[in-house]
Amino acid sequence: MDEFLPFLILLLVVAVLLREEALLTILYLLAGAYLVGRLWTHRAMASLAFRRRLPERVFLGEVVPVELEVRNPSILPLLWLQVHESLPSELATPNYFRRVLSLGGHGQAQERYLLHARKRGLYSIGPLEVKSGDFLGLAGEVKACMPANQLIVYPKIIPLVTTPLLSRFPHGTLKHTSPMFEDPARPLSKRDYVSGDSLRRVDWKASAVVGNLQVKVFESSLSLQVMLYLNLNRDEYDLRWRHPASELAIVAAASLANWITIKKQAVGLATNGIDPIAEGVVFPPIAPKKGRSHMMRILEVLARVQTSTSMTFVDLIQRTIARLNWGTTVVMLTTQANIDLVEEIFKMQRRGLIPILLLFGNVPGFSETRRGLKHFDVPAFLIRDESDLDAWRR
Amino acid sequence: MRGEDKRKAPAKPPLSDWSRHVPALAARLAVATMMLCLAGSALLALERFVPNWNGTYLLWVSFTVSLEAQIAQRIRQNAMTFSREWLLLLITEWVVLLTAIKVLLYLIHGPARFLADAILWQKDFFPYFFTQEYLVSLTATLVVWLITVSFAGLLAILEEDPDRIAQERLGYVFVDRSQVRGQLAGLIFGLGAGMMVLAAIARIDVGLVQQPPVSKPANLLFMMLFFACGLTLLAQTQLAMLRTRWSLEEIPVSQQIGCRWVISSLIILAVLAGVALFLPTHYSINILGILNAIISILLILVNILMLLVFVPVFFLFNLLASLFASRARLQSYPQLPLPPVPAFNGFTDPIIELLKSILFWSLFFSIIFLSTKFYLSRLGEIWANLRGVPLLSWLADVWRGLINWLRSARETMRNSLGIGIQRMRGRLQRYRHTAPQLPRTPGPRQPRDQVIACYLDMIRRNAKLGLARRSSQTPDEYADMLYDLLPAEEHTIQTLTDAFYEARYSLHDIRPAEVNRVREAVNRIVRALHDLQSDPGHP
Repeated sequence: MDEFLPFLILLLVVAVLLREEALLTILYLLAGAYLVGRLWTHRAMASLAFRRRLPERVFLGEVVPVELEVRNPSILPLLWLQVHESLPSELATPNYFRRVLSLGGHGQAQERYLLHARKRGLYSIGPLEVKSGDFLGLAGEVKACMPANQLIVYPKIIPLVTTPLLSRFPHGTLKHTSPMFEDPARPLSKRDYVSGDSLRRVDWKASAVVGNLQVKVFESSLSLQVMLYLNLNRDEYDLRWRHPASELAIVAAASLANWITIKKQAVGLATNGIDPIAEGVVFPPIAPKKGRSHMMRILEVLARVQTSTSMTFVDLIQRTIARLNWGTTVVMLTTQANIDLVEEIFKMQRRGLIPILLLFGNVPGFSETRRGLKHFDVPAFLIRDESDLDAWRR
Repeated sequence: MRGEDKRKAPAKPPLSDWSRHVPALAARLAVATMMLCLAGSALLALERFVPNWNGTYLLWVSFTVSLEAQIAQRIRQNAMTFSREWLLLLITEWVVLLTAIKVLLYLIHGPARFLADAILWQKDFFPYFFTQEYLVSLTATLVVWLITVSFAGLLAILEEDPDRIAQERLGYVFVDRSQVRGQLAGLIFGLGAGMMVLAAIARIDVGLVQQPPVSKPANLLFMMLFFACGLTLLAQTQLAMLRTRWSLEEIPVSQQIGCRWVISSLIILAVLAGVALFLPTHYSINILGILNAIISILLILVNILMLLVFVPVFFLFNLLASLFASRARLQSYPQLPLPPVPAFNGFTDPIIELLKSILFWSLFFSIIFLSTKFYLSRLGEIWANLRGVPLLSWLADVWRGLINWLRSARETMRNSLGIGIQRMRGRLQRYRHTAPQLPRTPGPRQPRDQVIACYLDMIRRNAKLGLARRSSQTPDEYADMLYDLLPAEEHTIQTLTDAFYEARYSLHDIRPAEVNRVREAVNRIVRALHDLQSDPGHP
């Protein structure tokens, strides 16, 4: 509207020259309309309040409802307000949410849309961009913005029933058949005394009742402490299998961590993948601990982690292996077993750790590798796709 | 089959969808009202030259013809221009108009006039049928019709037409709506300028016309109504343009926009018109007298400030003088100067007149300043060349230097004030707090002690924010608690915990750079916790 100001000037000049007061009144009307339009929108937009409500973390496959609330605390109505919310294309199609709203004085509007958690990862929901203008279109559009929220989609968790995880820790909560791991806190039954039984195991009260010496029999149990080593070094994966194999390794890590937590055992995670939030820094290792909150922390790392080229798998193991306790089960999730890795496996055995190898993707010569490791009592498994994990679901 | 178009035409909005149709209806009525106002102004000007003629009926004729022309235009636009159907519609429309006006004139003048004219038609039809009054009415009708058709054509382009939008979306057609709206605004303001000329004609007293100038209220009313309707039209076309844009981008639109837009714009314009009628229009105020009064008031303020500085000095001087001289004449204290009464001659209520005149002149100069600034900003090249002139560039540098100096002085004052307030707060807090505290920023100690002190400082600051550490919690457990609240700062929390462990339990050398890293980590965590607490969505 380029003609508006020149017209106002002309009006003013004519009014002054002709001394026509009616023209001044018209000038007030036009100038007032211009000023009101300009100030109105700026003031209303300055006090506009936004809110975005969505869960911060969801599991794969869930439908995530997102609620947008726009509130106008000012008495001035906003005749039109165009909102545009950017969405990740992995979670929504199309990758935006757009509406045009109209808010009265002290009015508010709520809009709702759905996201589908199809893929694990860390996503930015937003930013929300809003724009508005005056009713005459003289003052141009005014914009405001609400920053994005983050949504974490956890990786897929396959419910495992059994796993090949071994342990040497006695006195835990996992049942075991070996009498080596009898747990004095878990009495099972009593039997007659046999020569050779320790006197400490005699149940004197029962013996007094029965009249013969009775010995306590304990249930065998062991505890499991697992450290998952997840290799996400891009260079170590075959190009064709990089994405499916690395994602499968993440799913396997999440499923194992879940199984271990359900069994109330300790699990930790170390990976050479990077954190996209922390500007590409490798995730610090998570020491083995029990508990659901600890498991959620591991899941969050698995949700956010991305492949990188920052550290080799052997480097990762060498930097963190010293902090592990004797008897810890070390599960290595990687794509190939080269000579350096096999050396590390032997070092682990010498330290008293229990190494288990899980390979993902297409691994040529796996049978030979497996045979070789089996000779040293190191279990090795090949997982090409999720169906290979079905063996542990039965 | 003949005439069957297999392409599915986009559905037009149903008539019951009032939110879409109300703005269009308002625009139509605004155009018709503008034509009424235009006719009114023309009538007032004409009545000075033909005082005995009562042409009031032309107001309603203009209104009706304008509405009719818009409806007819809508019907005609479906036919190709200058096609048989189009010409037929046009000719029949004008025949009806001509007849209707003639009938109206006879209704006004009475059936006797008709009977008299009917006899005269037999003698000579054309001169007695196309009388002077009839010709004036026809001319006015033609002008109104032409202007309305122009408006209707522009409004038709700006309206939200589903067929046109579908074609635009496919790329068959491009419509520059901003340009069309600019043409509409130009037409409105052009007609407004014409009305001003007519108003001037009605007011001119050149002695050639015996009739006195027309009274102000009538002209003012027509002009105010015209511009109010013009602004209403601009408001509705703005909505139409936005709607079209949203349709093209396929953005769902709230149903309330149409009605709310019309109601709000009418209310705003009505209020503005009321305020505009109230504002002063006298321009011959004694501005020099006002400036004189303002300057006097400023000088008085300076005098008062100087007095506040010198009164204690005078008091001390008098005290000393009284010690050494028994009957010394004491210096009299300087008197507060009384403010001079500003010279407002001939005003009944000086304060209100002063306010009105200030308002008028500030508006006057603001318009000139803004217009000049706007004009110069458009002429960027000329301005760039002007800046090359040595004197002007020197003046611009001086001005820029002055502005920068004022800005830095303001910043310095603000910083000093802030530091002073912080210091006072710190001192007050120190007196209130009984338990010994660790300093916020550790003083000159070994790096190891500084790292430990920073960690303890973080715990203390987090406790103030409601996240107190239990005495049984290890640093790892405390870190887990922090992590649950601030998952995005996991790396920072881990770094800080590891640094504390290393400083507290190991014999490694701690470098000063590590202290800075720990300090940054502490500030980041405390800030994130503070932001989390301030977030209304956080429980």
